[in-house]
Amino acid sequence: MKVKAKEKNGVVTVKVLIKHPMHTGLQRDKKGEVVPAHFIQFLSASYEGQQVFKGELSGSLSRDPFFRFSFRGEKGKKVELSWVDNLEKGESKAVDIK
Amino acid sequence: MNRRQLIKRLALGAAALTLMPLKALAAWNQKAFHSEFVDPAVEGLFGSKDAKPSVEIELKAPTIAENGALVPITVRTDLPNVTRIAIAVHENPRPLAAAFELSPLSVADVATRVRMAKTTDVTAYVESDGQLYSVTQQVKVTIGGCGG
Amino acid sequence: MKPVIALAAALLATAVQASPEQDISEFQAYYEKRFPAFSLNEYVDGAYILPVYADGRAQWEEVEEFPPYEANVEAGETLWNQSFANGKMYADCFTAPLEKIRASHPYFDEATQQVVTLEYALNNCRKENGEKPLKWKKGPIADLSAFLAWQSRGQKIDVKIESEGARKAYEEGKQFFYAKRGQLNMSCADCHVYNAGNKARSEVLSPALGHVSHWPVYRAKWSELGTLHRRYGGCNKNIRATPQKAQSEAYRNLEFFHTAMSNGLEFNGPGYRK
Repeated sequence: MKVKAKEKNGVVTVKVLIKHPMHTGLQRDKKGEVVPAHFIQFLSASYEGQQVFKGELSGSLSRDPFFRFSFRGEKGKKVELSWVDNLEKGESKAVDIK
Repeated sequence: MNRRQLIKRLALGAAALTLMPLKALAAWNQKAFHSEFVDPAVEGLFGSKDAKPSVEIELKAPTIAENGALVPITVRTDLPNVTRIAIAVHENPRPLAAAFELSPLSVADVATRVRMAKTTDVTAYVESDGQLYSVTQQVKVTIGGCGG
Repeated sequence: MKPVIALAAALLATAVQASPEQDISEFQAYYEKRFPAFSLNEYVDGAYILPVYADGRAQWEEVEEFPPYEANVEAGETLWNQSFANGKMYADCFTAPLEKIRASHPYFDEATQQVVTLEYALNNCRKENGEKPLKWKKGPIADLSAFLAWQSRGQKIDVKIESEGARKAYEEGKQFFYAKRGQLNMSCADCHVYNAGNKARSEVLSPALGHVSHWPVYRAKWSELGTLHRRYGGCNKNIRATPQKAQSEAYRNLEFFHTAMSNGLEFNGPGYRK
């Protein structure tokens, strides 16, 4: 997961990019077999112990999904992101707000 | 970390806002996301399919998408107290693409990239002060001629 | 008598055949004349510089805000820093500093008398260290290539064609570029030189100048990162010609010529395209 968090005029803009196939479970591969569903279901962000953003997601999002969201916050503090997919794999990362 | 730990973490983050049963928070809204049509999907998500068209929502989407696999979408609004924003791609096999939950600290401005099976309407839904609003735009999806 | 004839023959040969420097100069001058609005280095952004693509460019810029290939660069960096089973690392195979590795490819290797592209060098490195080769068109090789391309952003393209062997490879690549092929009987030049900026079906044909600067590319069409030779194969298939194998001699020679034509422009990979 790549995260960029920048503050300007009291607003923190967070950009997230996650390498993930986002398979819907509706596609077939070259052999004609169904590619099993494998996509990120939840992405959440917290700042100073509060959830500032939560995404409930689906395979209708592009592969290697991107998200951008904003909230009122301060430079120097941290924003923590977590995601989990339908196969219960996930990742967490905390970044400094620049 | 495993799902249980992660869900617990998400729940702790949300605990400051509401007291939702852990199970409800953990369950992905399959009913809404697997719905084949927009209305039941929206109803499954918001509890109602009646959204008021609003000119106060800015839906930024290309008129003609370069490639249906990656269509950049931004939803912005100055409507007050936005709690949720959702994006639906009408003629996708499963129209509901994403549902975003905001907080009192949030600025109502979200962006993502969607997959579009074909030319169809894209609707952005905004839940503000308990009311549901929407704006719709058609996005054309062409099939490029020079693949490989 | 013999030496004089040989010299005369040699002089005649060089007089008839333009030097690579002349080719490059003419090639670049052609585009300057065709599209007077653009400076040479702008061509590294491909068809998106053309006014007819304004709408597409806007979407491209939106994606470039946080392009998907950044995740590949990160994955590539992890791979680059992983040692082989024998303890050696990729860096041990390259003499150039990190920011110049991608920029120093493709080059003509005198010892083996063949063109070495970046991906070819990476797999050679693996082979020399007892590792299985990576697939050529996507996956880890593309990630490694993306990481190295990222490091070489801003470096000048400067293919050297100094030996007889290099010249031969260059001429073969040039021949490939201008030769008609496939059921549609078209050459690379037909689309990307003589019809650059024109439409083919719903697509705008990109100029060949600047073509190689931004590889590997995350193509929305592939929904993933792919290498230049993957695109060469795809392009050949489009004109219903049998594609060559990725990293075959033909495609390596083509890349050699193709890259030389952009000498003086800057590398700006990896790239994003629709």
